[in-house]
Amino acid sequence: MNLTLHDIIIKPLVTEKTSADMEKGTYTFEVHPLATKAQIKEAVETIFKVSVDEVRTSNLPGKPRRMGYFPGRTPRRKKAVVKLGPGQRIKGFEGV
Amino acid sequence: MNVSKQEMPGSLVEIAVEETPEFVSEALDKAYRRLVKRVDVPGWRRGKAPRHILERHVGKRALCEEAERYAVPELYERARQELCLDVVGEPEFKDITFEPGEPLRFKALVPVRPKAQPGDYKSLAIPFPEISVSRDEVEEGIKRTRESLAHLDILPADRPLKEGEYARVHVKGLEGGEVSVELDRDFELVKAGSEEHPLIPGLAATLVGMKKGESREFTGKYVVRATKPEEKTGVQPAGGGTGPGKEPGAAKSEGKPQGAGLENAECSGEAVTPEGETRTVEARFQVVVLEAYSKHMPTDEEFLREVGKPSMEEMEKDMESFIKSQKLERAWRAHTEKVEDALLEKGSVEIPDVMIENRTRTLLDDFLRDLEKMGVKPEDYLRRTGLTWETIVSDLKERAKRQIKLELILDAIAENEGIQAGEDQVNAVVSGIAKDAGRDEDTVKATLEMRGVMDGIKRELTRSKTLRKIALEAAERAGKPVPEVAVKPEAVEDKGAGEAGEVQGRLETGHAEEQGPLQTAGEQIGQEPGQGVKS
Repeated sequence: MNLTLHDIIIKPLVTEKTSADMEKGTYTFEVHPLATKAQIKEAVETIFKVSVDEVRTSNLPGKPRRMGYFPGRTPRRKKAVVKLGPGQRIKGFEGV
Repeated sequence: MNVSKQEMPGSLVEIAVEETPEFVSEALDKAYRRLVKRVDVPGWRRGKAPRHILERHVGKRALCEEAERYAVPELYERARQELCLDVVGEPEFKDITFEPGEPLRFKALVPVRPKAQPGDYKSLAIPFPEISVSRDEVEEGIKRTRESLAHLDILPADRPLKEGEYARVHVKGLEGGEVSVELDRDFELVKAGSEEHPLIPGLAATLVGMKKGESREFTGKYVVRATKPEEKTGVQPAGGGTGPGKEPGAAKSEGKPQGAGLENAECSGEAVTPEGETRTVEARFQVVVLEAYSKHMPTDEEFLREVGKPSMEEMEKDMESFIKSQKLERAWRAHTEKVEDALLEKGSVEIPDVMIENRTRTLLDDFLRDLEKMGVKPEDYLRRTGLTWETIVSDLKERAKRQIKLELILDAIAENEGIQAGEDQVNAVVSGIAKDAGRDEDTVKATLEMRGVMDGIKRELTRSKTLRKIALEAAERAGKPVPEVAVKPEAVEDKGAGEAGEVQGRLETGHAEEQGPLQTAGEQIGQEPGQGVKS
């Protein structure tokens, strides 16, 4: 699938856990469900001007939801945990 | 902190406060620490979200508002203390500037205790009435005491009741009259004779000449107000049947309405309302004498033994002095009321509305509490008296105005004259409260001081002392001074106890202070609300 860099990285995920990881140079993003690890690595390196050592991904299936009579699902999501090269940081993320 | 004040009309003061940006920053930090514990931020456990995350979640404005909510009243309180303002109501904050990195500025409009102009109270001349006790009053007093010591003797079965004697009777309502009364029960101690029974007309007269076990039928006449046929009343013509056990006033009904009812009935021949037409209806009753009694008045010997006096002369002397002390007490009360009226007339003060509102609310609470104590529902009270909430509140408002004006005038006079309540008087009140609450005196004092009630007690004592002084001087100026015994009743043991008692009474009703929610001294130290501090 032909995805642009900004299609791949949807948003950073900032939670208590990911904030703790950021201090160790590991950043978590919500990414396009069809993006590959290689695409994610390229996107992070290009957008944030850093080098990526490792990308771990996990797929989060959508949850069943119901609007009255009609059953449905929330959209599936993909999470990518990106480990940067030693000593590297993404600027501006601390205040996100 | 920069503080300035400006006096406004209506006994209001505008305080302007300015505090540094550092204070704002600290206030925001405190607000964040409070808020973070209350707000759920997705991805964060409660209380763990960093400030920038929380700010993004709730908004910067919300954080500022939270900080403002605590910082402004805190600064106001500091400013109030710095300016030594005697505030009597809640402040109205305006023009609040609260931005991070900028100084905090706000204005507060507060009602303060106004200073009264007492007028020319030094020329008051009000004579104290002459008190005398007549021979008739002494005899009447002894007669009443003797009657209170009388007892009832059971009469022999064959002895008919005479006028003024008593009987235990069973009364039953019968059919056959114009109205019939649902009644079938015993009545204790009904007096035979001409004095009408309040519920059953004709019963007292019927009893004269009856013996124990005898039964008679009689007719009772009720005077009722005639009403229009369409008007709904307790109209109950005779002939029908309702449930048993009803008292007179709930009659049976059947057939067409007659326009008259026992609800409005009276046992006399007088009209119920001057403008309403009245008519008399008859009801039949049966009475059975269950027991007959004669009243045994104690002989002089028995009487003296009961009251513990050696002779009738001694008893008369004691009675005279008792009546005199009572009259003096009443006269003293009336005298101080006259002095109060005169002070109110001469003095002038501009009372802030909030003071009147607070006091009216307190008086209304007292009134409702009294009704509750009597077991009367407010709506029943209104129905019975024909009053409305508006009239009651308006009356209470007038009372509140009078009370506050008098207090402010007395405060002003006390200041002019340098009158202050003594520590012994304050201690007498505290010890009274402690005794009634069954607590240790020091603990009670500490509690009252902590809650700021002690100032109220002192202020009330000072007012009592001031009023007493003016009342005494006014009587002296008029050439009719107050007898010593009227000011200090026999029961007063120490100097401050008389005034202390008055203050304690006022504290019970919560009139000592008008600031904020009023609590009685008893409630302040942990008693149940409404229990009061006196036993």
